[in-house]
Amino acid sequence: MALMTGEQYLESIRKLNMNIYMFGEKIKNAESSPILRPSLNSVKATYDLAQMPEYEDIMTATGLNGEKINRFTHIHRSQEDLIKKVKMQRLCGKKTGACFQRCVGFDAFNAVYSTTFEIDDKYGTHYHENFRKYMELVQGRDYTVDGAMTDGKGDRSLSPSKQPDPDSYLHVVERRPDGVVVRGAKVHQTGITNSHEVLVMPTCAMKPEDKDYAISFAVPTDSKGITIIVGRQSCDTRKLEGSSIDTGNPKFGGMEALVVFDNVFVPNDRIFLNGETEFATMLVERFSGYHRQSYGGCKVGVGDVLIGAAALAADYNGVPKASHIKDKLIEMVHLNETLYACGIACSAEGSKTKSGNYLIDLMLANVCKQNVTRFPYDIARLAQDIAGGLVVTAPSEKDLKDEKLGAYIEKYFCGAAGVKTEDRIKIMRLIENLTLGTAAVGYLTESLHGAGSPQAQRIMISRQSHMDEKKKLAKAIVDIKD
Amino acid sequence: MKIIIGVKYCGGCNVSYDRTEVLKKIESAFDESKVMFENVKENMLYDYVLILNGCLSQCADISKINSKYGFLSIVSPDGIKEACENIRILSLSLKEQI
Repeated sequence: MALMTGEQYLESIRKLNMNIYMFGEKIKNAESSPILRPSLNSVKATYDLAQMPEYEDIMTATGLNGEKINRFTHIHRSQEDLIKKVKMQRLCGKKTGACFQRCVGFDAFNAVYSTTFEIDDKYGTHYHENFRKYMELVQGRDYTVDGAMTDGKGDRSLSPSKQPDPDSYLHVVERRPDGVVVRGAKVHQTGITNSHEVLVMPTCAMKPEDKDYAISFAVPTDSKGITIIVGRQSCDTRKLEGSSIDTGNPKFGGMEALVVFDNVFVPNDRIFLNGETEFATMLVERFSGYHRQSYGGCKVGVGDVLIGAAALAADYNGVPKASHIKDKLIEMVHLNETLYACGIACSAEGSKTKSGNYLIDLMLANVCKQNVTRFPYDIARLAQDIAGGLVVTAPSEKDLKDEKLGAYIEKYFCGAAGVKTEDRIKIMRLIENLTLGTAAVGYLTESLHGAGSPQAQRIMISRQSHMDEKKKLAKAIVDIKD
Repeated sequence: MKIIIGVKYCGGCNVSYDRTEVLKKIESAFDESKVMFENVKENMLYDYVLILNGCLSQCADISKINSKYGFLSIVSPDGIKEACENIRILSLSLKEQI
């Protein structure tokens, strides 16, 4: 069963016994939680789309064993694969208007795949063999895997091994003949409650004394010792009110959580890095490079939804022909397509690694992500500008449906002739959801900090800027001799 | 004799029109007892293949798709007329063969 249907995916998640907490209570059934269910729907969409003839060309690929697999479990074999990845992410963003959560694991697969090969090449270890077998499992069972990189980090001025609390970074606390025991936590974990497995990676460059922190492995999300504490999102409890309109996006959403590893056992065959500290940098840079590419797809797809919502708001407000409205929509499209152009460019310029898989152009991927830290905010501001204040002042669905109050709302919040007031409010709520509600977690703040905060990209851009070559060019033009 | 038309879609990442609607319009122009449309399967041999590309990049992968009498790539609803004409011509020429 290399390709699961959406229903088979739900059934497979139901079988897991994850230790999930939210609002101080244990969540026995995440599927029935109104807060978590939309995020499950988003991941399910990645399975549903792969089953549809009109999307399978980018949603599927050929796996390590020659089977048809979901592209979210693919190891890139060409620049074309890298391009198709971005296109798939745009599609999924368009269809959900939310974070569909499966990219982090996808990016981790490709980063770990090539890094393990190079570790083995240097040390004669067997991490790549371990990982290849793991990928055959993931592809064969069509797993969703949470890619886990970010640690709590404690005092940011101190390295992992110098922290007052040794658990500030996830680390090995016991080495046994059959594996290791780890303790620590991974924070901001997107989609963990909807994942079969968690693939852990180190979060930063490491020195020899950080050996116990240079660890990469994968375990099931319901492993003994794992506790998941769901993070809050702006306006999250609206989902508990039973209103479809007020949530903005009644079908889809994202989720994030703190994931605690309290003495979790990892068997040897699930270890992909164990103490080779100098390779932590390679793994982090490759993962973050892939993930910076990802944002040139997923955020663009969500941006498409937001631009469409803003255009509808203009229609419903009766001003689609106003020149400044048209110009603002053009600016939104320009910004959105610029992000896409960067995602495609870093893919087209990708190159083969020693392991045989393909890596994006790191400079262009970092430029992509640097733009992503800015443009969605500009697009969101323009959407709110076009929509107007009703985005944040519209009464509730309950009032809209109330016999007496509803009449007032219909009377005073009507828009252009022929437009239902309810439809106008629905669009305002969607814009609210994307720009300051639950989806703004993914569309805005995640655009800023996800895959590394802006300064992280600037460091990478600086490293790869070939400044000496640029100086030589200038000197040559004006005949400056060294 | 029934003509079998294979239908192949691109991945649909950024389509500029509704590809399924376009297919419905083409299908509706023919008697289903004489012309059958089906989503392509690899290693099958179709009389003719329609490729519904969502944009001008026409990226649908047809490397493993086989057709006896050719392929037609549609990139917008404007392609409906040409698709219908081609299928009609094919239908007539096959009748003559019979």
